[in-house]
Amino acid sequence: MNIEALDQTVWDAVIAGTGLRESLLAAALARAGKKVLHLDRNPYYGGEYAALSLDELEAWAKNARSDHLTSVQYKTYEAPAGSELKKSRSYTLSLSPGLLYTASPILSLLVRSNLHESLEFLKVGGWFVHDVVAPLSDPLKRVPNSREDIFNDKTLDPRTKRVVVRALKSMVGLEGSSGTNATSDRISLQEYLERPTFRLPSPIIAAFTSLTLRHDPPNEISFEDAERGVKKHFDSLGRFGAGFSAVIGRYGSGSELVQVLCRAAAVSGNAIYVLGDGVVDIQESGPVSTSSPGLSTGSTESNLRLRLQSGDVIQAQHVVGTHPNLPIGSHANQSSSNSTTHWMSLYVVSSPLRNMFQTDEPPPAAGAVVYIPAGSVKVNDRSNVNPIYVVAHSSDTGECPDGQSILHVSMKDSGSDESELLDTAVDSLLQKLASEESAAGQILLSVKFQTSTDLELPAEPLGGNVHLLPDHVPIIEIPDSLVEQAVEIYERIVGSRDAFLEKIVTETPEAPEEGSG
Amino acid sequence: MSTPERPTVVKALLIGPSSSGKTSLLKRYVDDVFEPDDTTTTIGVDFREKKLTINKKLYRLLLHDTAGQERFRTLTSSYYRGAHGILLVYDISNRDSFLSMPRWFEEAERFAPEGVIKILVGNKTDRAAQRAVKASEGEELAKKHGAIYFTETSAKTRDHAKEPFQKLVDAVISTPGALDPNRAVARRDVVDVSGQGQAQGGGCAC
Repeated sequence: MNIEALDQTVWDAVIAGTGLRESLLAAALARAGKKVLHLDRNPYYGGEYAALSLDELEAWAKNARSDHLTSVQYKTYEAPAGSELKKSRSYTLSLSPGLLYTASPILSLLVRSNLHESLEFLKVGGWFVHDVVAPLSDPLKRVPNSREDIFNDKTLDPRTKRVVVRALKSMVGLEGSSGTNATSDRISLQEYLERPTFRLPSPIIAAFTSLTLRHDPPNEISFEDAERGVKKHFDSLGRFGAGFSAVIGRYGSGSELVQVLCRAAAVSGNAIYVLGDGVVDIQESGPVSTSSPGLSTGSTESNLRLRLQSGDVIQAQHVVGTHPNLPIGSHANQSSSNSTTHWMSLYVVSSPLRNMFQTDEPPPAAGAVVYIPAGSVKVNDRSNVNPIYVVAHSSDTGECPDGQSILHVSMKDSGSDESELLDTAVDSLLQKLASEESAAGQILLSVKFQTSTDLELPAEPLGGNVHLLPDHVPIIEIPDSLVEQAVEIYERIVGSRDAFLEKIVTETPEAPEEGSG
Repeated sequence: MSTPERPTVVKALLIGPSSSGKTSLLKRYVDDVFEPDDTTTTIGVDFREKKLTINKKLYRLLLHDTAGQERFRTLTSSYYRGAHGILLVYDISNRDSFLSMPRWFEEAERFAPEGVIKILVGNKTDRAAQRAVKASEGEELAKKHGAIYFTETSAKTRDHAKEPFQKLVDAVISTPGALDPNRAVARRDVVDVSGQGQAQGGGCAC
């Protein structure tokens, strides 16, 4: 491909932003033989999945303000010599934990596309319930993962064990039979588990809720949603080894995924990468004249003229991006009543948190999930209205120095300022682990922000050749739906969704020069 | 008899400004070919592989090329992961190419694992008439940035073309800690998401 200058090619697609969907699309299009110009305004890859050094993260916190990202606070803490924050580059910090269930379509897509070998996935070992009001000597409660776990659990009486297994079977189903009965419609998870047939106590309901990764208390999670979440957990369990249902990628999970996809796009020979540049203007330019030599458009479709931040004016058949990355009209959809606000916070703590990463079978896990039920964290007279999730990453992820860990904390906003509850939740968790482990950890860094987006909200289709991706801020999981969003746009550009990302067209044959002159 | 020996993986990267001849050097080393008209940016393959036997030990040398991402300096940090050695290549007939090298050293320093073996290569000695960089300057730059070896090559005429690769492999296998398994491509705690190496039955155990 002639890449002497960006403006000497009519790009099949210009993709603005290197988030996960954009990068999936870039790799798939490039592998399908399409010429792709892939841009990012930032000097780094990843967009909402970026992984940053301390310095980069501090700069991000200063500048990150948008419709769906507010109240950003970056704070470092004093610590005794030896356990303090290390140099900026020893950290690779993502804003979300990037958890992937082993049944995620993203993983199977990576395997089919032979990209998984460039990535290293580590176990997310345990799911825990941390009830702050329980006595400090109580260990973190591990959520049982199997029938054996439940029967070996010394804290449950025999009747409860049987009921828990029955409740679980009714949700997960056995041998393909759907366990759900029609009467469970429109009731909450809590109502379901409190029905006379089960009558399960609240600590057990909390354990069930923790597996859903939903940020509402169990009486506000519909049974249907809860069932889907629990099913997914158990569908994923044991897929790539015993005792775990999810993985995280080393070095920032989603960030590494994005980089591997972008390299795959570049390796195909069809994609060019430019960072620190974006699209500032889009114009319909009408059919391209075929008079200039070297330009082969292959179609009479009208093209788009794009002006880039760098001043370059380029031509493209299609342009793709999220609203913040494309210069298009107003954004009426955002902050609609459908959107939900979450508090998210990233912590670096001065403890390896070893107890959290222990597993029955080697190797040890590098990730763990802690569920803190509603009402159990108190600051002055206020407590958390909604549950809090803490997802821990060990230093095995390569994201922080040995002896430290990373905690990703998330909580649905209830309307009043509850951000200090997050610090309290982390402190109490560190206290609890300190009573079992020799060293007590402390917070070294916190980056807090509020985010309001709704992934489920479809972007307004603009028609034509401008393809808008809905805004997306990952919270715990890398959502399955991202693949579908990328595939849909791929289909609109390529005309088929077959072999998305798997097909590798190595060389597009030069169009024979006929009738020129 | 014992099971066949599994080769030790050595991961090496080529970096440097575009048009310095990285891919030509790679092709000369792996395939012993030179394609004079092939001026396009590297395409098609993620890495090239060469099997080596040194002191009766098997090695798999994986050579990763930039895939054109050096052009706008957009190499990913993940490109550098687990690298044991890096060849930094400039064009001796292009002064700017040489002047950009400190930035490539910095990038390698920043993203590559600590203790990575670095070798500096001035390529295109066949263009003697257009030489714009003295060999002594290359020598000096290599010393300044901790490259263990410097050489000038021509992928076109074969002049010293295999030397940087051989030196790199020798240095990696003879330097204590340079093949540290923690930095290697395969790690024991990594989950095989292809589901192949899995002994245990899957599915719900409840």
